Amino acid sequence: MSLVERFVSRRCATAQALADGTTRSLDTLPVGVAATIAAFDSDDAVARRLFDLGFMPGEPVVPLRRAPLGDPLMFRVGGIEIVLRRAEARRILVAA
Amino acid sequence: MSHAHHHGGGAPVAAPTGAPRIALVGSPNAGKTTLFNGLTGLRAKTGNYPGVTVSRYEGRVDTDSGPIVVEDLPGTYSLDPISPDEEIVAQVLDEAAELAGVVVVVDATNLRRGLGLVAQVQQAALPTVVVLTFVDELLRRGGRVDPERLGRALGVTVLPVVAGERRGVESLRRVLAGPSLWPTPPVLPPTAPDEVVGWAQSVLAAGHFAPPDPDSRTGRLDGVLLHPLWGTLIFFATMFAFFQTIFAVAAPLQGLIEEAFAWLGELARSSIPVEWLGRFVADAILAGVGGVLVFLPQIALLFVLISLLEGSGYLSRAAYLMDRVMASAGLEGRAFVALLSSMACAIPGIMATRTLPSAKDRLATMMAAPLMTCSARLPVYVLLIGMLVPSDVRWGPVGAQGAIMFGLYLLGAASAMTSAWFWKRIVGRSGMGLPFYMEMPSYRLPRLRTVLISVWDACAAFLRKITSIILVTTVILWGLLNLPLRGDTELVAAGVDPADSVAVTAYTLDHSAAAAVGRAIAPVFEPLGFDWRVNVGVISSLAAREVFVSTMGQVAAATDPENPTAALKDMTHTDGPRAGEKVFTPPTIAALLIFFVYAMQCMSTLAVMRRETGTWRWPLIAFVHLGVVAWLMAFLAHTIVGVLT
Amino acid sequence: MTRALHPQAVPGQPSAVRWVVDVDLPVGRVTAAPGTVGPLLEYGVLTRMFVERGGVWTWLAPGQSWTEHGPRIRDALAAALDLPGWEIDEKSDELLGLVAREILDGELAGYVASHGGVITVADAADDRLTLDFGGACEDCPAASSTLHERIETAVRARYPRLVGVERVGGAHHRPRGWLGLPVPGRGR
Repeated sequence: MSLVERFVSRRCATAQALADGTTRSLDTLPVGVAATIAAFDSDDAVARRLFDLGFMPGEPVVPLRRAPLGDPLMFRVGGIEIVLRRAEARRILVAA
Repeated sequence: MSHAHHHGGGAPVAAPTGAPRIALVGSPNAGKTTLFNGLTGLRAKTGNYPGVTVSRYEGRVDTDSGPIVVEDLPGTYSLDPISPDEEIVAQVLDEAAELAGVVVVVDATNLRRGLGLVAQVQQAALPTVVVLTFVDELLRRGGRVDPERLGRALGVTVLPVVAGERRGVESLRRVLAGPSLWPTPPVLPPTAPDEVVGWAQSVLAAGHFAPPDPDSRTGRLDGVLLHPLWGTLIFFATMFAFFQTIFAVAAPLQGLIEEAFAWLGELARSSIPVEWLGRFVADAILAGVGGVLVFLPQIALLFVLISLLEGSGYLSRAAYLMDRVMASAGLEGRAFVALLSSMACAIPGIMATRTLPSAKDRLATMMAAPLMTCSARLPVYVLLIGMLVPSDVRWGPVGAQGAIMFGLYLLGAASAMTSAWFWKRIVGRSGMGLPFYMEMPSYRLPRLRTVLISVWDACAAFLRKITSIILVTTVILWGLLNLPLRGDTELVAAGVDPADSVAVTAYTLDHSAAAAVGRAIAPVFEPLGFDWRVNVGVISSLAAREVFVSTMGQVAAATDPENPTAALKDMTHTDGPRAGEKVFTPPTIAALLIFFVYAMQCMSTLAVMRRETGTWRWPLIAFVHLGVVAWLMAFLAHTIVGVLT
Repeated sequence: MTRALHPQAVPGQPSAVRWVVDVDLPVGRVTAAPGTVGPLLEYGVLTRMFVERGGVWTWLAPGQSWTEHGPRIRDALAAALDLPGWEIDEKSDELLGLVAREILDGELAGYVASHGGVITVADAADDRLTLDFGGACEDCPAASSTLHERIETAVRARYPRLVGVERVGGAHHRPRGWLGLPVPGRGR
């Protein structure tokens, strides 16, 4: 099996895995409020990439600021500052 | 976007065949390229991976056990690829037989994510060494890590390397000597995301890792530079200063170059005894090269400024601020950087599209880049606007010439955005959208070495372009305009006095091969008001836009070598329905200006497009569709200005 | 989320892997295990297994490779650690020796080396550890207090039944400088 095949077959924790339902999507988290990453809304290449970028379940995340026109959003996660658009931030569920 | 610039493009390195190959893997911004430059010095060579458009960088490193080849793989966050660059990394690692080992470059301030990549790379079961970069920054920001314990937990050698310090690079060089001796972990790390989280957590604890505090200096600066109001104002001020510097600071240097070449031309004319040879050296070689060399100061300055902005971390902020605007054309913030660079030259602009993870965004940005007003258009605009309105005409508070120039820049930018939107829709219909993400580096002082390498490479590439394409075209053009040389008998027979040099040149020009070509395509450009001499200029500018200026210079010099600009202004149609009328009327100048806004007149850009897309298809499409658009828009301009005047 | 767990090689023992993991089990030799670890042990894929505070030691049968079986054993172990049904022989001098060696080669290696010494495990019996303080350690007063104490604390943290640490070798051989004077600077 090639490396690519091995990684494409990975599965990230999704919302289905969380029964308690106390999560909200990252784009709705107010600026400056920290939360813990819980899961992704579905399991696909985008979720796997967000995971590889450092949005790992269990990591704390905090929205730092919004761009002047409301999008994209800047987050701090795992020691770095990273910019995502709302569409991607919506994919990440955090424990409220 | 890559923080450091590859030094490359020099002569191929004589890498001994059979020398062990070691690959460098790491995420963008991890300091991989700085490490590569540090290891290989100035002995890197560039190439392409077969079948794809991703550049390949490799260099020779001398170790105690002989030379090895180090290959700098494209920056990637993961071996689960979403872009062609990233696919290359997984492919190269898959062909494990060709590699003796892998060096994974990991940013210590973001170790948890870095371990994710280490875990993936280790699946290739190759001897692996981990290089920790930015350990100094980790400690400064209150974090800690014990590389030795971390190495024990990972089962591999972990080396801390601080950028700019020879010590770390030297110990890496010693380690690189024997990949077969590198320790390997007994069991490979897991691949399932949940298990990777557990594995990384355990390894981090064993390595005594404490994450860094947020960088307070970066936080304070971002509070101002990314402020909704102040940040936006500072952004526009920066961009204004950017272009102001490029044009204002470069101007005196350009003046010097122009004077130097004018002086050399005079010297050639007066000191070369063979008259036609003197003219050839002065008009073809010196005028051709000099006319293009004047852009060197601008290009050097542009790269100084861009690499300063990039090295400091502000360019990523600019991309963040512009992302929403670029999104209206279906692009993302990083495409802004590519388009910004294209305002100097489309070539670095097209090369900058490599930072875009999405192949569709790359293509759309590449198609848009040639529409941005590059510096090669500048001399054409200056020449034509100078003929259109005198410099003292003012429209309200602003000078008319400046206003027209600004309008042309604006038209270029608007057309580029429209074009990007159009091509994104054409190519973007199928397939999934890629996620947009961009890491914000901490503000850092730009490294002088990185800036110098970047400027040197850009200038070297530009000089190569001059000595190849432009020199060849100007020489060919001179030949077409001046050959065959007419004998006295023929001149007398045609009623021209062989002693009157102006009359002789005019006759030679009129009966030259170029004239035949210019007349042959006259029907195409007749509706735009061009005469055969302008046609020759337009055709010659297909090689490079600025050649138009030197061609018109050669044409005018043939009529009146003492005052070519005046000669150009007074040029009249020699034949056809408009015979006797002035060539450069306002509608024709407007048509020419607009034609130059759109037409794809740059062989180098087409060649770079071919290199970056891997096929002639896209440069061909760009050339043809922009040619058609240019003609239509020029016709529109000719008609509108004709009605107004 | 799965357990925080990673493997570590055991120097000189290619068939052994020490899994670094937080365990809440008695310390000693494993005689029976729950989950899929049970059969692995029972049918001899794993020949020996120890539990200590902070880790699990496993030996693979001769001829088997960790590269091949490692991932399966890792998953089995991660799942089994939460299950009931572990049977552990709570006294193992072999484990005490392993733990002590691992600490001296790993955790405290830098510290011992900074004192210019080489310490080896001479014996581990009846929950007592005997160490051979070689090299410069012999002369160093710190060897009898700080170093000794640090080793004892570190070993006890992972093998709580440890009764005490004794040393051999030391006094027989005192390196002296020329003319039999004490070497300056050794007394730190």
